Amino acid sequence: MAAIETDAVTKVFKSWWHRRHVVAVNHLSLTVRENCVFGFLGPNGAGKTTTIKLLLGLLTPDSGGGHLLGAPLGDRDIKERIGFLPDSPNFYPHLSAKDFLVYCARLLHLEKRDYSGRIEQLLEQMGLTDVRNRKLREFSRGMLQRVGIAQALLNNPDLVILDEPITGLDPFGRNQIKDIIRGLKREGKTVFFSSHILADVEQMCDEIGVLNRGQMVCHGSVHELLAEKQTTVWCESIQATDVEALEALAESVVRKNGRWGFTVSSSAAGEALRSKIEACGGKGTTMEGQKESLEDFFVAAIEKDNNARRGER
Amino acid sequence: MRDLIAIAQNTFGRIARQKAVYFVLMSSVVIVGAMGLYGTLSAGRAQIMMLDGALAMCLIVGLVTAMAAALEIPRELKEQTAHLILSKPVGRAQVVIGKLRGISGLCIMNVALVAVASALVIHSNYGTVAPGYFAACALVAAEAVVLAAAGILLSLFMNDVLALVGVFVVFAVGHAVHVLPRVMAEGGGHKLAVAVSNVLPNFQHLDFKGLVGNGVAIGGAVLVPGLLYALCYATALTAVAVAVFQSRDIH
Amino acid sequence: MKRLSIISIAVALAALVLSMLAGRNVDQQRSQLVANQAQMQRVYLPRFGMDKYLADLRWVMLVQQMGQVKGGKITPEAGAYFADALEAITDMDPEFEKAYTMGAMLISSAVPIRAVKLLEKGVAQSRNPSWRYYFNLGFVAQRQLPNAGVPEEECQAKSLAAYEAACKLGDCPGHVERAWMYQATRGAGSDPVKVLLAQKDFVLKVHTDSFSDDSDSLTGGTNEFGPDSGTTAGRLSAWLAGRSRSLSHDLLARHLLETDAAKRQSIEADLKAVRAVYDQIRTLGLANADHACKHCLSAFGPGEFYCSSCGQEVKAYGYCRTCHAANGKLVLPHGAYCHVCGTKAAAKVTTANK
Repeated sequence: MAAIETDAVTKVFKSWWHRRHVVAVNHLSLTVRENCVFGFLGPNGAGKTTTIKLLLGLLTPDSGGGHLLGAPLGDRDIKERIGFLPDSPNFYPHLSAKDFLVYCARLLHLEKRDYSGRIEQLLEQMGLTDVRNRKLREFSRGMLQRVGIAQALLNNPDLVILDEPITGLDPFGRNQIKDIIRGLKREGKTVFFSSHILADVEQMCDEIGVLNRGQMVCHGSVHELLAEKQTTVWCESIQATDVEALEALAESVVRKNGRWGFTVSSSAAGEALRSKIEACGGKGTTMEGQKESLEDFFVAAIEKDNNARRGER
Repeated sequence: MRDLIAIAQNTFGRIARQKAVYFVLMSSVVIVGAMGLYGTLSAGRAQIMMLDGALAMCLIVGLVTAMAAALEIPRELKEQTAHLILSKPVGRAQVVIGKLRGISGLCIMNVALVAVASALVIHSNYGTVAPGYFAACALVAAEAVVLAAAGILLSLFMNDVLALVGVFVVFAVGHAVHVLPRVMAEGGGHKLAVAVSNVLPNFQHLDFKGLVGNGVAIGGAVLVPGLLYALCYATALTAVAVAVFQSRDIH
Repeated sequence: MKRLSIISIAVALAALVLSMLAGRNVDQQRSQLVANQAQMQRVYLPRFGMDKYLADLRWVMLVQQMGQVKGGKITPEAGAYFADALEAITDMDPEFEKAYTMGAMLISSAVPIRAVKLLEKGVAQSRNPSWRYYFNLGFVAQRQLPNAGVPEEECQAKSLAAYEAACKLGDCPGHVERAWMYQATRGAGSDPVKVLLAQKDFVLKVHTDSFSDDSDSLTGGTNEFGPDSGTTAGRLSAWLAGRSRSLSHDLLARHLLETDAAKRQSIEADLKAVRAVYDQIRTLGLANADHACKHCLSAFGPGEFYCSSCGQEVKAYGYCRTCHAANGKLVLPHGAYCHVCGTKAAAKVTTANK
């Protein structure tokens, strides 16, 4: 069973008197399998937060539907198994960190005997034990983010939805959150999060989805999507005359530490070149792939989609 | 039910920390006390003036506190705490009712504070407080609860400033609507006026300040149906608010 | 979600209907508290439920403005301004007694018609209008209204009706009752004896009316301890006794100085009439006239054998049987011992004849 499943969900925001329509999410079909860390990417205004709100039932879709942990979108009871961190939260400033977590626990219908230990554990885990009784108004953005994550994990949820969880955190905090997300995965939980910090997404995610102008541009596993960009065939010994002949087949040739490197555009071309090198008597050949970075992939995917839309017009 | 109480307590705690409300509260009692100094200037009406002042200040404090209701849900939406609450297994009806409970509790508490403090001031000056004073104050608190319910309803389809203005308009209309059937004394207009005055909030049903100020003792015969009116009307407004909140998107 | 919305709307409608029923109940209860339906039906500019407080504040301002009137004389313009302010105040608080009574007296010299209207409004709007409304209305109608061109008879009739209404409320002070009596006997002319006789007739009529109509607040009269000072007739008769006394003193003084026999006869006739008034009141038990000199009508105390005013022998009471209150000294009628001879007085001392 998929943890998240949407089927052609569409959300249109209408202004007063319906004079202006904005299609925030357009026929979005998305499947996130269980025990998967899913990175939800997209430029600003792509519809990521709207999609998250649709998943949580905060917004009602104009068409389409979906399921969260098997229950229809907006189902109240299933929320007991979901943890959510909103984008840029500004929690109740008059409450202390501990009181805020107690409030959230009461909203989650947890018994006191269950939540008191859990709150202590989460405060410890988030490094907030020393400031547990300090008012939230005195907290920095990073500390608030940690409190937010703590409340999202209060009910030990099966599905955690985090909207920009790493934003505003220092490198230590980011590592801490990454560790938590990895820990959640180890525990068999599903994590769905949106982020702009693509390096972290690349490190943490099993799958990603890229959203642009309300539509899914691409969706799949990180390994599949980030194909090898270039392949270099390294050769330890080869005749100089052969190098000249092979140079024509390669995009570039480099000499490094006494080794010749022939770079081609794909792994298939690399395999063909390797065969030729070996046929020429080259010894000690190795192949080295250079994968595309997620940032490059993301930019390319968005540009490609934007160009396609311009072409359609 | 536990989530409803949690929301009510949190709302109460948050609004109760607004310093402006306490400034109004303290000022009210000072004004009531100052009324006692108007003995000569009012040609010997100081005691009645203190009583009238106390009842008027109760109303102002109730109105100001109820106005906080108009700001509460927009603020929750702005700060995204509404998203947080609604991502938990909490119904939208619980959110609306919980908010109203919290604000109503604060309205009642603030009106009671001003009423008791003013009664002490009057008693210390004259050794007695008019009969029916506390009943009139209870009806003022009930009016504040109705206003709070109106504030919550208005804030669901208006921004906070407009909702604040809206609460004041409800307050003004509520104190004027009973005149409508008398203005349109005869004909079809009268029936329409009666219908409108029944549907719109009619705070005349809760306004016994004038009578109490003039020495009429009001008791359970007025208090019970008055409170019942406020309770029913606030329930009607809350039910509409719940319907609106359930159908609207949380941006 | 749609089902929930339908439930919410159904709850809203049911609650609205219940609120209407409760509201009607409140209106019914209010109409019982506000006896005067004119107040219930009044149409006014609502002031956010703070009408009475705003009326107080406006009143304080008005009192200060009244204080700024130079020499206490109000011009018609100032009178009209004050009258408008008083109208506004009494619109906001229909039972603002001071605004009606004090305000009307303030503006009565400048705008008497508006002063009368203000007081009539007060009577109409107030739940239990006090005697002050009627007394002030009577006063303004009697003294100021004729200056506004209103026919004299109409003014006086209005005044008389107002004074009577004030007295019928029962808790009015003596000067209100006397004002009613003066107004009712104003046709008697200027001769004090004729006026006294007219006043006596008026008091007797009030006394008779009070017995003929049990529901009237003037009811009362005598009891075994003497005249009932709690009734209008009782209080007026006491006043009338005093008036008879002072008039008889005047007449006796004039009689003493008068040399003309015809005039002396006339004075004696007047004296006889005054004494007759006094006796009638005493006979009816309306005034404490038992211990009064029959000659000059002066009251005498216990143990006195001669009138201290005219020297005539009086029917003494309350003297010591042993020493007969030697040298005419006062004997305490209810004292345990005579303070002259020390004889125990007991009950026998009180009213025994010489």
